[in-house]
Amino acid sequence: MKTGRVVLLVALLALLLVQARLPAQPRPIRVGGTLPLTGVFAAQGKVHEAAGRAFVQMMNEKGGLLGRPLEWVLLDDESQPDKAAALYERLITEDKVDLIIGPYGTAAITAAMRVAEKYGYVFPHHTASLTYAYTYRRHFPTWYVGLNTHITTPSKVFDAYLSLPPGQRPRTVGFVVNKFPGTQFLAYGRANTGGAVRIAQQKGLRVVLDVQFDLGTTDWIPVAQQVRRANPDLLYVAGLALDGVNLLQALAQLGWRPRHHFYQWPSPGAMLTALPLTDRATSVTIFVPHEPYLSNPGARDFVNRYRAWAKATGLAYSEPDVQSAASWSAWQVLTFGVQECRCLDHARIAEVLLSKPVPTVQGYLKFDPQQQNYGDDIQAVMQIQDGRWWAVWPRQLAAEGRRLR
Amino acid sequence: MVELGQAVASGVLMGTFYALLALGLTLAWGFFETIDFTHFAVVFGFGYVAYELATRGVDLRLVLLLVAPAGALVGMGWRWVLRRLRLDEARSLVFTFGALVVFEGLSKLVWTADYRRIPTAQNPYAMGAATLGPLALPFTQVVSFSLSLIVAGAVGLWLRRSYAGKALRAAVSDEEMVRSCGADVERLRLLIAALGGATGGIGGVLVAMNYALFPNAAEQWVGLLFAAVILGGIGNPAGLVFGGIVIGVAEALAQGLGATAVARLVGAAALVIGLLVRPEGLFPSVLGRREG
Repeated sequence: MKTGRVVLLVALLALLLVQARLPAQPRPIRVGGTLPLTGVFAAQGKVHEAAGRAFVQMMNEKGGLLGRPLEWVLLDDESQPDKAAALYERLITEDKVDLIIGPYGTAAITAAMRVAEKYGYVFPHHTASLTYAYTYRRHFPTWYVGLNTHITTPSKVFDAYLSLPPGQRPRTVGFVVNKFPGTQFLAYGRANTGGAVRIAQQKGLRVVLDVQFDLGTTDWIPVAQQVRRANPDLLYVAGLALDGVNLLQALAQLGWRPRHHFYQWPSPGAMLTALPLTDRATSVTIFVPHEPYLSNPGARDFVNRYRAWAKATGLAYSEPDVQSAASWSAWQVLTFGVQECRCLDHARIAEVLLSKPVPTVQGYLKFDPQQQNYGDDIQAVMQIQDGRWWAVWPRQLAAEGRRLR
Repeated sequence: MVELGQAVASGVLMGTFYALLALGLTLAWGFFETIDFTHFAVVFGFGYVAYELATRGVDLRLVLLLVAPAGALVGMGWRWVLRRLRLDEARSLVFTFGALVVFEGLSKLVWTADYRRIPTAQNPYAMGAATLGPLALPFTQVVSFSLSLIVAGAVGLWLRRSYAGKALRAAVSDEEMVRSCGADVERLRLLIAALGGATGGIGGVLVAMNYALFPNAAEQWVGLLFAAVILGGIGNPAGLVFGGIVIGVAEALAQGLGATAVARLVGAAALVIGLLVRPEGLFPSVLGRREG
């Protein structure tokens, strides 16, 4: 009995000695954030989750951040902005995360940014559209559309279409606008400036239709009917996710097909499933998986790793797109700031990001404090051709041999 | 004028589509005193089944035929479960809502939160439309219109005219008395559950033909379908069709007349005004008054 106790004691001491000799595992750097893993935006949340998981895995395979493993404390905001704000409060005050990364979507980002500002946290975010509303010095947007996106985005779209040969150029435009804050801002601008409708008129296009619809619309025939009656040369859908596909299906049922058609923020995968209805549809993007984008910092890693993650998690559409690229860029911004200052001090990270161009899959982003941390609008117009999306405008961002049709 | 006609036609077609989707809801509420949110799980579950089969090359017309018996079996099975749980109306609402949330979670596991849409190549019927003079009538909505009228009409007649239907209606007021007369009430209820499941399954296929599926898609339909049920009188299939049409036409007219942005509001207003005028619904319940 006594001998047994002695043996046990020796064994315990030996274990303690062995443990003391093992190198201590460095404490992980914890990045807090939320995404809509459930609720109405869950489909988009899944894309951002795949991008984030792939990025964190890549960082850890490459030795982590500042020699420490990177850990993503991801919570579900259930697609609710108020819940997102409450969870960011919790992540910062209770979980005491080292860093944070933004949630998905305008409303949740706007809510979470207030919390970030309250605690002085650096706040990279990827999918906020109300550019004018963000005055926090430490917010870093990676949907890099410029401060005056209500002017630059529609201008880019119309310039692309007006670059077509005279016989193909649209002369009339019809607007179908979702009553969602971001799409309303892009369509109608603010304070009597910008907005696609106004810009179209300024560029000499005649507006023959301006119709709005509610989120959750199930009957598209009456909207389609108004489009058919107006018969615009260019159909401009300031809508989200599935709006375009639903409208096109209703238009097909009425026997009308658009000659030119643009969609603000479509679900790129759903658009491809609707071929041939969506052939030659356009949208705007910050990344398409072809050159010249593939030459941007980290782009090939992003494409390969995101595809693998998206496939593994069963996403119906596993191609890198504007959403996943914005998400990946946000992680690149955050980790670049930390690596450059070699610290986790938010004031210093922010200063690094404000003073140096940040390498991302979209190119080098320069956050300009004079422009509320936005820079130029670097979007391209992309179009569905031959069954996939291609950047087609401006020329320097277009895929080789591709131009707007 | 043509636009107005198209708006009305579209509203009628859409309204009968709402009715087809909600038939199982109104029957369960009326005949089993069950506010059954799992009916949405039946609809969207079969929507996903249609997606899976269509993407594997099965013709959607065949899918429509297959889901009717399958839906009937599911309806009967679920009725059997609910009967054993002996839930009252209020508790059935809470329980079935919880079950719907579980279904959403499971569909997220199986199909992820990503959108699932039957590719156009496998879904040619969704693109087509019949024409009635200058009006376009989408094929899928013509199907739901026909089915709604046939099923609702047949069920309505069966409830009113047949011995079994009368027994079923009487059982709502006094089940003991009906049993003592020798009627097998539970078998009749299973028949009603089968009908609700079958129409829910068919509705699910039509939803998948017209829209993209995602786990929370039911949320878009809950308000609309319950509005149609309440407006039409609980348990009244013919009233449900009319309630659906009222909401569908109100929305379509608002959209057709250019007030697209408030179309949803108009549908809700139709419900509120209807209930202010007739709190029991525009149509009386075929069930008569329940005791206490």
